[in-house]
Amino acid sequence: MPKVCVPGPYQGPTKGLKEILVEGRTIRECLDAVEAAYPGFAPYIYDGGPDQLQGFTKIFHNGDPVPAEGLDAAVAASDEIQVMTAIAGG
Amino acid sequence: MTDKLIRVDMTNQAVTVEPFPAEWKLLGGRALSGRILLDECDPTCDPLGPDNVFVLAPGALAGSAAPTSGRISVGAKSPLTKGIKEANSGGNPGQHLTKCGYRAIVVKGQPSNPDARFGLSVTADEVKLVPADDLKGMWNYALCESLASIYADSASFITIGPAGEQRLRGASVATTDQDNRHPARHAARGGLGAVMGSKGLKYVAVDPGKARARQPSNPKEFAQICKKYTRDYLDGPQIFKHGTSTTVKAAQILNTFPSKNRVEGQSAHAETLDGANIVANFERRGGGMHNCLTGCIVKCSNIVNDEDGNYKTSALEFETLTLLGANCDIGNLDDVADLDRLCDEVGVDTIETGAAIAVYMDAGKMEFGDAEGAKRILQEIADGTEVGKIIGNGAASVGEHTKHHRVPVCKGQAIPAWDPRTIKMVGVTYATSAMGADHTAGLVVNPGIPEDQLAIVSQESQIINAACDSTGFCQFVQPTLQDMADYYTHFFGEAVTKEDMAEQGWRVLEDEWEFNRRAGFTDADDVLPACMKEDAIGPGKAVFDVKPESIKQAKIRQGNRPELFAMKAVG
Ligand code: SF4
Repeated sequence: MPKVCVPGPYQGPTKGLKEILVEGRTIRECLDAVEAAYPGFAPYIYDGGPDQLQGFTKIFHNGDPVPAEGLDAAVAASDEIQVMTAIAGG
Repeated sequence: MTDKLIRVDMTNQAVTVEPFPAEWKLLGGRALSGRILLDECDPTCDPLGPDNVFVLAPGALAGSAAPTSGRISVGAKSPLTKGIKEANSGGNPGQHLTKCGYRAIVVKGQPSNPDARFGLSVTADEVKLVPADDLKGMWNYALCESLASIYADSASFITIGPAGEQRLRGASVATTDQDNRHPARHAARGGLGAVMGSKGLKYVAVDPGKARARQPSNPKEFAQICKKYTRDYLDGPQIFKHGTSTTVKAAQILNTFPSKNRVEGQSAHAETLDGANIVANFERRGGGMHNCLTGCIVKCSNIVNDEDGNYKTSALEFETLTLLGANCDIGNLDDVADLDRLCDEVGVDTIETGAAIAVYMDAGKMEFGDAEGAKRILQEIADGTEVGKIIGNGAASVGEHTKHHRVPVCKGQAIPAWDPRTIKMVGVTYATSAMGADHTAGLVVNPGIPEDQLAIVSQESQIINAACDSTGFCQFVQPTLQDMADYYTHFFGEAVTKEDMAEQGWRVLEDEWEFNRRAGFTDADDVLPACMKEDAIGPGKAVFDVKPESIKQAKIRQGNRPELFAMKAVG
């Protein structure tokens, strides 16, 4: 099963879980699966529409950056989807 | 070059330069400032009297080729918290001091004439006090322009504005940035500008001339780690490349973008105050991202221009957008930029001042959202009016004068944007840090940390940030303890392990807690104000409800978990 890695700031909805194994054939399906299991996750990912990523969220697929238009790329069972966030103090 | 220490006696206007103690070799920044204060400052002294000790201590790696190092710590007993205080700043003075061979400046005493002003002029060959009465009352930008006309182009400046001269408890210490020599970087928290003002010191000018970078003991290995670290950073996601201001929307979702004196965790102005608008404006208005100190590879600092493309301020940070914007219900980005510039000019902390104005508004003395009124208050602070003094002395002072019940402070210092009700871990830091409410003391933005883990995560974050603040690295380059150990090993030429760095971080915290204990602090001071426990925010009606027994654990060493060594500094 593909694995979604959740950054600290988004672990409120996932109740502290950092890594979640999900069913999904594409990156989008994997992210949607996290939302289905842990409602409240999606607002961190999408800004309004399903093709609009939040500016502070970056998605990586096996270490490679994924643009918003690349969310429908296929994933294999051993793949890792990393969600990263630009959150700092200041 | 032999390391040196500058001692300044303001009572007799005397300066001495002595060898830097060998046993302090690995100490810099916050660690060094804390050690000097514990050894040489009476913790029970009047923070604005002659017995307080004012320390300027660059990080241990400042002036070397280590990327994004060179920050300078300012330390003293705080007039705001009445405890030990360290605040650090970017800009170039830290690097310039160490390139001249000076590891710290220790200022004691007080001139008999409170109206006298002095400047401290520092070069590699000479350190002297010079009269500066003619600069009295000057705002920071005009002051630095004036200093730029006196000192060489290679000099950088450490200054205070009128708030510091008036010894207001919200006063900051400004440092000039590397490219424009604007006094845009501030060691802002804890009223350290008031301590500098109480010494009669209006500025420090540091001119390194053509001094070279500090040379490491193991040049080849040091160059290799600098190169690798830089390459790894530049090849990575560079998550802070647009600055902290772009955190606004995420903070809004997390219910840590407080509005109206923190009665709500979200603001109606999140869209307009989003730092993404600042970035979008670069194309039309000019400005852009830059590095506040030479050799910074993160470049998180924004330069904000006005509609006509003229420089307005730098850097407009997330904390400022929150405290002077959302928390005062001011939603116009240009208004907040104006307020940020005014705070930098007058020389006050944007967090403390934003919180103070919000308490004033909440107490019914002013309408929420009154941006022009807020700007007038900054002018009043500069002018030293009664209202200006009340607000310039910080949020607790406003609470005292208005008898208002909702005063979000911890150990007398205003709570930053990161809200302890939704990010409970940071509440443990605010309660236990000797610094009072200070997110840079230890922050992990994770609302999912279980209660039984909050104290240890806070402790680990406090350890790594204390270590980082001692190295001179900026927290935004996010070094691990192993990274810091590698740099120390090759710079100082003696084996330093990640465990040693953890120990140094812990020792810093212990020194600070010991100073506060001697100053009269007890466990009873390690609490958050009632409003954080009573005023619920967000859909989950979050309050700060971490039990005192759990909070206490953050001050008891829990050992080195693997998580400590995986953690990165961040503030
Ligand atoms: S990361 Fe930002 S605050 Fe830190 S040194 Fe660089 S520009 Fe300055």
